[in-house]
Amino acid sequence: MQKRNQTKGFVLVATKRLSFFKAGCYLAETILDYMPDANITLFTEQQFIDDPVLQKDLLPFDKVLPTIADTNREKMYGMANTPYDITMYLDVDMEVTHEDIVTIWDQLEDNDLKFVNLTREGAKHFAEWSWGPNQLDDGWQGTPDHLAHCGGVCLYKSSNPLTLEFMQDWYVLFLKQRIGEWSPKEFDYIKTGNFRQWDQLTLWWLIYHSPKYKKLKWSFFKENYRWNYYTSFGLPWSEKNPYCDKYPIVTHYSSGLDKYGKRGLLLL
Amino acid sequence: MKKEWKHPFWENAAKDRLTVRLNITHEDGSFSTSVAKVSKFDESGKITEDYNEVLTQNPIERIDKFTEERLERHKQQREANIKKNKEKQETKRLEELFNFKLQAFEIPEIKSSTNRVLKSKIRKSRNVVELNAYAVILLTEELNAKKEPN
Repeated sequence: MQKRNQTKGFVLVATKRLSFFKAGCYLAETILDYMPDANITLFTEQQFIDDPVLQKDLLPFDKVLPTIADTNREKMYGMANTPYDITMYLDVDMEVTHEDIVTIWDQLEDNDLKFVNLTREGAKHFAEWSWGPNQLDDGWQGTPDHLAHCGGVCLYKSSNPLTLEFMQDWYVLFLKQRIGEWSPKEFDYIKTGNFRQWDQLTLWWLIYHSPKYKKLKWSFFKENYRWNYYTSFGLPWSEKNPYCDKYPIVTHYSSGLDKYGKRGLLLL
Repeated sequence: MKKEWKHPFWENAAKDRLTVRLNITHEDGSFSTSVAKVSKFDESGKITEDYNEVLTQNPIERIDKFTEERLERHKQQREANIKKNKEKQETKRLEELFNFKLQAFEIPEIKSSTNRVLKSKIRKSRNVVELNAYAVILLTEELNAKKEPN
């Protein structure tokens, strides 16, 4: 039997606000600037899909699919329902800024999941990061006491049913976690901060504590922050800096943008 | 009363004026602490008692060391502040640029243009001047194209 080619594509998810929808459409265009044949699926709310004014914005996508709810964490639903065999998920407050994006599919290697490592070096730029002494940056090999995996960028082998179940569990467990219906014993050790508000804590649990997903192979991107360069790092792209040896491939506006206030994307 | 002179450093290159923390344990057991300025000479040119006391408790080498460490600490703080301010400015610049790009694509002529090359150049702009320049070129082309049928 002839093996069919694996489909590869990007998944973006935009809910809640028109500004996120617009940013997602813009991100898709920046992907196409460097990868004109890229497949891109947008998961968004039905109200945006049906809006006649927004139809032109949807042109860069090969698929536009509705989310099942309008929470701000529909991204995991989108990730679980990707139409591709290999998927690159990106948060919408990003843009592709370098032609090396074309190497994305080679980055997966023999992994099921690939993440950006949130290091101690970058920790001051994240709202919450650690609750204990064990940190991967120190060479720690066990379960780290910090949110090591960024949920904003994820390359994954979606042809593996277990990976899709992982995404689905991430979605469902986070929604339960947020309303206090799910709190595994490993969370009891976290005595500081307000980590239960983050989907990255759910991700941390699934990766390090869920027996079901021990089989999944994961690793961090070799050029790490180049795949998720936070503008709050505040360093010029033109030169080598502590976060990035080369010009960033994906630039992320998350940390500095006032998503819920009057600045930032809401200018639209 | 017990006087302890702690962490003295020279205030000037002539090394005749010191800043020092003075801890006093009083007769009744109470404790007070303050930052004191100590001059080497009094008005008549004699070496002061406080100065001698400071030097008895803190050899010159130690005072020199405290002074050097303090200078280095301040230098590092100044450099860190400069770096932090630069980072903030750059972050702000990048975010504003991103927002300007999003706004440019809300201009109907730019949004509906099929000139992918110029639209891509707008998106790839690395500063506002570049962004504006490409936006104007694209707008001009689109407006001229609208005029042509006449």
